[in-house]
Amino acid sequence: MRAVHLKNKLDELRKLNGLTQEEFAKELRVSRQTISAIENGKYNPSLDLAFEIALYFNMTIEEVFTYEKEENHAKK
Amino acid sequence: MQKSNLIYGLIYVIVAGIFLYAAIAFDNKMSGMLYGMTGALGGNGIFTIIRYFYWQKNKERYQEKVDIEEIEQNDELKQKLRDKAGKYTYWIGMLIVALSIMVYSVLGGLNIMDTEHIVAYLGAYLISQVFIGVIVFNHLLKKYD
Repeated sequence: MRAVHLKNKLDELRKLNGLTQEEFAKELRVSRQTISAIENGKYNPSLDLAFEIALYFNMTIEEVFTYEKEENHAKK
Repeated sequence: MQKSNLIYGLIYVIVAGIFLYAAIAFDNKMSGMLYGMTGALGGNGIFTIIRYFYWQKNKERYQEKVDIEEIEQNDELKQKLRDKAGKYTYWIGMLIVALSIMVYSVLGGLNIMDTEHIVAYLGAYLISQVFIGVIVFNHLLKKYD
């Protein structure tokens, strides 16, 4: 079984821009809960949303998100 | 709010009026159902008309409300959770139907009540749900071929 986790700097970038979660959510036309879930690592955004977030901060997607792959192989 | 809402409200009220007339004029076994339809359509229609005029006076607040509703409806996390909720509800529903078939079969077997038609209907419903699920899944999968 393979778990995928996207680490992100969303919290940091959002605060640097002086935005609350609600304001940022409104800018991206998503719910505040989605922003909160992404920042807390509970939810991985879709590719569309990840790109929109990166574009909002004028950064590349790799600068905002870090891809981490955890592999748990069943040992025979 | 769109003017079509006012028109729908008026149509509901008119149709409710027709049902009310029918319920009073033709006093028979269907009257109960006709009175029910009158209440449902009439109430809905009146509520829609009142809502239309209320939001006409509060256009800015209405636009904000519509905006929030649109975001909530299209939010990807909430769409995903709604799909998940639908999936769990489907399985719970199937389980309830399966258990109901067992219960009604036992009741029928013990001659407590006549359950042939109920068991047949529930059985057909259960099987059709499975088939429809497979058909819809295959139809959706075709888009990705």
